[in-house]
Amino acid sequence: MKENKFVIIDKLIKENKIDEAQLELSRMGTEFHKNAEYLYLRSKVFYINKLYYLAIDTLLIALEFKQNDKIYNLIAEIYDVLGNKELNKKLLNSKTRLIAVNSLKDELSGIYRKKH
Amino acid sequence: MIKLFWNTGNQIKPSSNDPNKEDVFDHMWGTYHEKNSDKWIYYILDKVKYKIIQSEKDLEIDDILIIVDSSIEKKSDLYARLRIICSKIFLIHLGDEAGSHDVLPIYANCNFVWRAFCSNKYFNNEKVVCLPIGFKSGIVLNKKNIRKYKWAFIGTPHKSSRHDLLFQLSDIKPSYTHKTAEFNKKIIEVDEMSEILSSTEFIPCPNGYVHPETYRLYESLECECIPIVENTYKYYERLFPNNPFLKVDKWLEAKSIIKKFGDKQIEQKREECKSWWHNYKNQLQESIKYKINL
Repeated sequence: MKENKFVIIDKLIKENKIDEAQLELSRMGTEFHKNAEYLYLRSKVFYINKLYYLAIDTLLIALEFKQNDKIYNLIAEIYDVLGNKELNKKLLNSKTRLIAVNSLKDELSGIYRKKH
Repeated sequence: MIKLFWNTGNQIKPSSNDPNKEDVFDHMWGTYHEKNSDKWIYYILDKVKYKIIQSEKDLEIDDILIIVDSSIEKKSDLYARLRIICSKIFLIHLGDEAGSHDVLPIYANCNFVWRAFCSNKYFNNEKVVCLPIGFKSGIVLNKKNIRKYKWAFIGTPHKSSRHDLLFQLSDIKPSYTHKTAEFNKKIIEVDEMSEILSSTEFIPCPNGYVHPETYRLYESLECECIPIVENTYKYYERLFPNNPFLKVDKWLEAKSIIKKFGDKQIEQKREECKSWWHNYKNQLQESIKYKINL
């Protein structure tokens, strides 16, 4: 059921119906706040609305719940837009991306991290 | 008689030292406002004549009360009592950055509310208006200072915006940075902060931890710097229509602004910001006086 919802929202984003996608996301309850797919879609909407830093912060939290290529790739894409080519390269490389993300999170005291 | 009661220090005694516990958080912020927001609040009330009281016991029947308070959602009994005693209640509501509490039942006891941290929940409420969070007490312009720093950042790089700000602007010199691990921990004193701000041309003002608004903006205006704010949701355009601040979607834009601005343009923009802030504060004082004396 919820997978269907994510497919619908992703389709809305692809069709550039951003306000509708935003509305659908905001209707989803707090139980999705730890769902990587939900956080990824929220980030895509933030990114399209030029809310770059909200998008990155949300993607960094998404990685706490699921390691996924598309999450790393979107962070890399945003860092490219921001003009940080070095971080972009590290995030696109599957051998360096985990270290790059953890090092970034170590510097940011306000990003949620799971207790290991 | 108009009486002013500063009640942010009146909080439930914390049961632990855990900063994640709500009682600890409320107590910490209540104390913070008492110590650091007093100059700003007394400044905006400067055109109103009032007597400061220390306790609700100093109130008499039909007094007009200006109450400065935080964590009000825990104080419904107090506000019900005040409603019985006072002829009018004007609340200056500090804190509530996340806007997560239902404070409307408390607001219902008041004739008018100025609340920090704008929230769209109250945009259609005729007796609630947004109040800028203002500057930290003790921040003052040192007019003798030469603007030796191009930009400065003092604070906690808690999220990606601040991290990117420091990355993007790192090669613009001379600059001043003081990074802290946590808000209000291992900070520099206000005298030193005033010195730094008074010696700086541009102050990047990234969003606050939860809300876009940040004390840094008002501190930079007090010290006649040029603020560069994040344009998230066009927050400042909506709060202060036609403001002169520089606005960016990403800090890369700030980098090129700082590099491009020549001395004349800097002087012009600084004057624009200075004059705007002076007029804004004056209008705010007048509007508060008008509302209270109505």
